Amino acid sequence: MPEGVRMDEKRLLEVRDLKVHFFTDDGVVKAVDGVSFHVDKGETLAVVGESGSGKSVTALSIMRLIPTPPGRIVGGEILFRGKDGEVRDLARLSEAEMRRIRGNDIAMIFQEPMTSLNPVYTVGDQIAEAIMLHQGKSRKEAMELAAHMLDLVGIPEPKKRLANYPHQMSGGMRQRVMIAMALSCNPSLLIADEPTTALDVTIQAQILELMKKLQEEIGMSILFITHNLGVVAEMADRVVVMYAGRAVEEADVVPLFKDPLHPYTRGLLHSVPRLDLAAEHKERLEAIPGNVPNPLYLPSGCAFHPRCKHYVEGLCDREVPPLEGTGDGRQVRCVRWREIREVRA
Amino acid sequence: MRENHVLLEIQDLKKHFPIRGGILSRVVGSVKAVDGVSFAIKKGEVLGLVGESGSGKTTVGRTLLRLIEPTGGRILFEGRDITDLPKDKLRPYRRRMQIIFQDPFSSLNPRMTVGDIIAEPLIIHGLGKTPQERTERVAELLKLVGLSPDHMRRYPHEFSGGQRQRIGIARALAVAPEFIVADEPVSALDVSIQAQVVNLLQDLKEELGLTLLFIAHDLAVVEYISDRVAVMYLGKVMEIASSRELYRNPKHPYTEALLSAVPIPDPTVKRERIVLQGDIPSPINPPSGCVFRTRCRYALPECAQVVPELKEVSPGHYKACIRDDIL
Repeated sequence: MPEGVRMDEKRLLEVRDLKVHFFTDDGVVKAVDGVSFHVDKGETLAVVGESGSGKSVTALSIMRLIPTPPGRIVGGEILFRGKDGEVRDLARLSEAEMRRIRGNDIAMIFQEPMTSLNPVYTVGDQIAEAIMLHQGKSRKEAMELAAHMLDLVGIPEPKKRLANYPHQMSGGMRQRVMIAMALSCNPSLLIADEPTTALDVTIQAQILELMKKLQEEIGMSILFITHNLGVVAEMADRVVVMYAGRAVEEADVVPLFKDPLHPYTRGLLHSVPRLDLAAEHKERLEAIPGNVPNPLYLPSGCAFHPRCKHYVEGLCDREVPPLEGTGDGRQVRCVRWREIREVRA
Repeated sequence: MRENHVLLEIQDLKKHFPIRGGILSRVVGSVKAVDGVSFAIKKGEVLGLVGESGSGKTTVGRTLLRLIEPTGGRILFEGRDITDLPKDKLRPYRRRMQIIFQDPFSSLNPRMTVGDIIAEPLIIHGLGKTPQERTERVAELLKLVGLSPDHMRRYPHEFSGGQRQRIGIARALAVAPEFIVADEPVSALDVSIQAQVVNLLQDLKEELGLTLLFIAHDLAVVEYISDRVAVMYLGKVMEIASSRELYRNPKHPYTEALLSAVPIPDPTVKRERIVLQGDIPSPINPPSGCVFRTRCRYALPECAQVVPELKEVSPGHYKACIRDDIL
């Protein structure tokens, strides 16, 4: 390997201590400030967080789509195993090298399928463009493959639909087109940034179902960015919870929901009403007090401390707590996690 | 006043938006956004109104406040028909019925201070006579919604989304209304902030004895806050029941599918999911008979023939479906 980068065999992506800062007139926004995680082959990792947590910036950094200026990857590595088996640090690739990765190895779908499709080209042209570019196919072959992709994502009469413009389709259809386009070059990693947030629940259910089905068939890994805990529970194998630019907890999906260790994760889980516990459990929602912090003026120490009910003065507000392994394959960034867990047990 | 008296009632409410076309801008069709909706809200009750985009739930909320004029049907407030009241006669009712909007960013004037925003309805309805009286009332309202009276002199952009929604709530409460339409009041907010606002609305409802029409697409939030829930699809009510009954024992195929589509935040819960095929049809040209039949897994040929009436299937539980042999 060229730069001597090494990565565990089963890993597809490994983000190490990623730092992405935005240099604005008002100051430096540390949107992502030392985030590490990995995605194994065939697995779905969910990154959960609220606005300003840095989850979308993390996703864009992997694709190297951070608007520069004002943003810049100021530190860390983004190791990725290409289809050719070679491990590269995406943070250091040239734009030309990156262009070969995008679409081909890593594809991305976004929240707003209307704004991410070009309104003046037909969906057929748009899907075929990616195929011609990355796979060197003729236009005719590309169009055939595009029709096949539309069929794969469950769009009826795919051949006819190729000639449609995005505005002739519904929101759910457009998201299917985006998925068809993303998967047309067989990427090994699909980054999905809030792919169902703009959709109605019945359409969301369709899209989630489709993503699961396609993952089984194609075997790609998914990095799923969302704020919706229900969607996480449904889709993820493993979860990273982000708050104010840092990962605060990482665990497999079942232990995370059953026994959240970080007070923020716990707070999030308790603040959403649950349909399945309906009626019997009509006690008050346990809201997290306060507001999501301003990224320009992050609180000292643990960024969550002003909203945390376990806050101890002089302990939580001094230094940023390290991301600590808990011994059972989980990680948590809280100096008091042991005490809190014991009290609860 | 009697207990359980009906504060607001709508009967066969319709709102059709004309579609104009051609060089003469003639009406070539209409969007049947609301097509014959009836329900009654008792004093002190929270009625949840759920539905997907295009179901007409927001139009119902705005039409019953006469922010948009209905095409047909009647609106009764305390038994008085206000459907055709002229503006000046409507004003006293306007004071008693207020609205909270979804987007706390676009619903507050960025050039006005928070104090002026909240005081404006007082001036319009002639409630606070002197500036000092109004300032006192604004301070009181800010405290009521969990903000500080010092915030009065600041501008909306200085506040976070959750705080702005509190300002919007304070403005709605300024004129001491009895009835509030809350139109997706938490859907633009972060998860951790949603719970704060839901709790606030619930406290205010208890404290001030408010009656609410809570419009939202998030079924879990609606279930949580509402006493009764109405489910809308393509301009019509499909089902109405008490919150508990509706979620435990849905009788309409659409409600059944909608509930099963909501992802549960617990990875160990495994449920049978009914994935509805296709999209909501266009409200310009809705299906004949039952509007849901094109996506319904129980549909029969008869469903295309008649528009199902909303009928009572058990005490207080209504559904608009001709099939009594299912669910």
